[in-house]
Amino acid sequence: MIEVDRPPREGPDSCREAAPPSFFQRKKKGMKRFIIKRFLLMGVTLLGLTIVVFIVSRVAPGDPARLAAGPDATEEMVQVISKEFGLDQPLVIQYGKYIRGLVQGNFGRSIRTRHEVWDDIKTFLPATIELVLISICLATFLGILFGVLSAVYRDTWIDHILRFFTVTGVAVPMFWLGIMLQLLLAAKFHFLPIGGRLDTIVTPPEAITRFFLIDSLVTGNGKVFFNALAHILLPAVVLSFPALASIARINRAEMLEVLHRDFILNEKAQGISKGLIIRKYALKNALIPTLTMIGLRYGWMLGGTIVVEMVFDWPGIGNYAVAAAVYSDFQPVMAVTVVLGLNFMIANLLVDLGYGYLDPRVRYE
Amino acid sequence: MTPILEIRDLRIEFDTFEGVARVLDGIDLALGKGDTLGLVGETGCGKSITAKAILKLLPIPPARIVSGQIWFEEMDLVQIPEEKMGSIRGEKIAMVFQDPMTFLNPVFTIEEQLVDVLLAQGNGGASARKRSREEARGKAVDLLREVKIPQPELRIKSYPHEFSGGMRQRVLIAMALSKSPRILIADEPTTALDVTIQAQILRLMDELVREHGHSVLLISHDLGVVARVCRRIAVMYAGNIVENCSTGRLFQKPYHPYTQGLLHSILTFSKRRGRAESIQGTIPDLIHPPPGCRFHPRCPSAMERCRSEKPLPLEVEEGHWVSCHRYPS
Amino acid sequence: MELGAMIKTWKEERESQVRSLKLTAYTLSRSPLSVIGFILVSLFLVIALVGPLIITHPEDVTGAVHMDRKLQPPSESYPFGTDEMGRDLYSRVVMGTRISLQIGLIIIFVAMGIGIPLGITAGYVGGWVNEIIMRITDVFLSIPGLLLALAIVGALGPGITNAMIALSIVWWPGYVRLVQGKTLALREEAFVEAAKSLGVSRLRIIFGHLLPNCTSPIMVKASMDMGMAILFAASLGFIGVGAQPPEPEWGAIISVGRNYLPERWWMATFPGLAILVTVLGFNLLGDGLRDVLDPQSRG
Repeated sequence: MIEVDRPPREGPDSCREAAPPSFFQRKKKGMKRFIIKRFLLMGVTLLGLTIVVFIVSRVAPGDPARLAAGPDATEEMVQVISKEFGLDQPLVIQYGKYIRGLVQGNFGRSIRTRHEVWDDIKTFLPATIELVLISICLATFLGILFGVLSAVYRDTWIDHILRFFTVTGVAVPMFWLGIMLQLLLAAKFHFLPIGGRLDTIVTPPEAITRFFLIDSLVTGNGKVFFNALAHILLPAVVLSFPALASIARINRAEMLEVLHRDFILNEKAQGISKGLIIRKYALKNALIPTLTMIGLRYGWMLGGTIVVEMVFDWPGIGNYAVAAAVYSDFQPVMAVTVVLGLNFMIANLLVDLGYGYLDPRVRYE
Repeated sequence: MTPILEIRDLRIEFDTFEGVARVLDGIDLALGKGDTLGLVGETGCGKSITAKAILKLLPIPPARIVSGQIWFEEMDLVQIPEEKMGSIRGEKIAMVFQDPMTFLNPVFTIEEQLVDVLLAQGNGGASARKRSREEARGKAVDLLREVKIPQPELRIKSYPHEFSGGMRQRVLIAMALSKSPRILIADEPTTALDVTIQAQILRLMDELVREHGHSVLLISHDLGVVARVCRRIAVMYAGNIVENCSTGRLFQKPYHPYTQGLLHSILTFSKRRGRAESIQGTIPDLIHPPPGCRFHPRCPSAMERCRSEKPLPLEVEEGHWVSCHRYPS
Repeated sequence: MELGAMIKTWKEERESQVRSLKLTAYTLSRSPLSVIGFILVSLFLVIALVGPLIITHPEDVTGAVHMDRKLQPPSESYPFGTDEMGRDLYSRVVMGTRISLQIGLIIIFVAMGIGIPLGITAGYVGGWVNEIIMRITDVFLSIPGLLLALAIVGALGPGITNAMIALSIVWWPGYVRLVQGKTLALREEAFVEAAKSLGVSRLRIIFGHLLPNCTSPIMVKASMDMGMAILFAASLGFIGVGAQPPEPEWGAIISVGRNYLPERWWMATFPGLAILVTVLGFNLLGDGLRDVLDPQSRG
């Protein structure tokens, strides 16, 4: 529970009130407990998530074993595959095994790729994380910037152009935007590559973090870095577009609202410059609701990466999940859902902690 | 002796949904050097707008300065551009607001806000102080000590919501006085506080003003508050100054029917006899104000002339000005 | 009560409703963006309704094959060009409007049908019922929407129906949260206490007092959600697990059209524009409704 402090009750102003604790004393007191409670809650939610995903996967019509075996399989072959994947046991037992496997880091085996799902995820996850992180940073930074500009230059041509983009930005389908940009920038004008993480002739950098951008920088490999940058640019722009628009809209609205508040008038009256008021005193207040939107949009981005990876041939778990879903291969889809679900939960925790950082009135219960 | 601040025939209009409100109808006000002047009136009479107009804090699209001058240091503040105002706000003329909860930024520490005020250069104004942040921090603690906040080195790291109302008001005062302004404007500084705290804050303001010699314009709807601190009082009604004289004079010998009505309503109540009497009627609609003297619909001694001709300020005794047709030149 | 009096009170009640409707319309008309939204949505609805009357090649909408005219650029006879089977793209996009409308409406109504009752129950009854319902809701809300939809459709098999089921499951938790929050707040209000103390039955409190106060935020959310649901459905169609060819669903058309880029650009472009304009319309309308009906909520 996040609670907001009310000001202390008015009493005789005896000036003998106790000094308040310093910032860190104040925060750490509730914060550790809050984080622990949240992790527990996350565990419960995660469990629920696995139940939902498991039920979904078993609701499927058709026999996955038969599918995996192929059209010319004999009954025996189907039986063998069925046993191999444990598909012949009662549901509850299957779920129990599944959970036990999860705890050990075993997500099962993909019928399609024949690998351990965990290995597949390890291969594909870094690409997705790299893309999503770049996108959310882009969306946050530019979104806040555009929101502030839009508010400061309200009703001028800057505002109108920005508002046009933010209004349409939320409505545009990501996959279509990706295709259009691909068409224009890559196919027609050859400014940027069409897809993939690197040109096929370029070797990936040494795998340290598996984020090509970081790894190539760290190993001093400039050519690979710029190649990776060129490849990630378009997908990141497309993935961040709706989020950028939303963040800009709410930041604009909040800035306009905050700029009317009394304390801004006071700061102006005391001689503080307009620039400082906007970028420090007003912005920090406006960021609080904006942070909510950032968290929300991050979740949408995790879903949107599915189509963006498809369009740009990005070797991430979104693409992996789609391939598995189309193939009726459940283990990977379940695993990806769990992984990205967990990712989103952690992001929400970070958002809640962020409130505490921005707003001193917030208390963690 | 030339006054330190002089407002001449200030007229301000406000665009509203229902029309144009003529909120200030030709204000004449002079603040003497080292003087304490109180501006008193009902809610909506325009006193707060007058204060904000001096520092050009009014939002200019809905508001509009139609005509008039505000003379300070041989400059007409109405005419000078916004960039120059930066070196006056906080530096030469400072303001203390009411309701300290909403006038302090809730997400920054007191220290941060005070330091930024101290460091605000004012575009290289006459008193351009080049301070380091460290120096400013030290000065901020001193300021808190001056306004009698205990353990200022510790308390300065707090946030506004951790202070009580009285303490926050002290912080606002400290902020306003931080750069030793020549003029201090206090806009209803005690209205949001409990009565006991009010007394403390007023005493504090009194001490500080005496010690540092600021000239003070104190705005309030509470005659008692103004009487306690100010040597002179100007009474305002519906955008006009109706009476302007020393405090003693105002209570002993009020000339204007409105002032008389105000005092009457206080005094009958304090005598605990019968009911509190009030002035009949309500404040006028500033979009369609009454012609002539704006008080005439409520005035017990209104004459024919009051309905058509606006009364001009007249010095009925030395240092005592009234705007009323009952006192012809 | 005699008939005349009954009719009179009924008319009076309707009068105030009509007046508030007029006020809504007036306020809405003040904002140009809302007006645009309203026009776009109306356009969408009209096209969906009269679709069969304005298309030029009705046989192309499903199934017809004219390989001799395949992949032709936009021209007078084929305003949007033809697709890989020689079908008129314009007719297919227009009929796609109808499909999108159906999909959107079904998803929203099913989601509301599940979410609103659950939300009211959770908010009104409180206690462990509230806890359980909200925990379940949280589980669903912790999964990114498109991903959950993909998982469900992956399990059920591709197709429009399964896509609608999947998206309804994605959408209902949002309504639970909205209604639960509102009900929780309203429950403490004085007028509910007053009704309770007068002995009004629980059901009547729910339908007569709580629900009407929820309609504003619900309407705002439903309007925004329409656009988003259509977008998601198109995304599923694009992935290949939603509507299947030869259904003229916008996402599915784009998915096929993608293979013929960059020279044959029209197949991928026009359906996408249709999606954009439709979602834009619903977003603008939702924004306008929010400004009118529910100004305190934002973002």
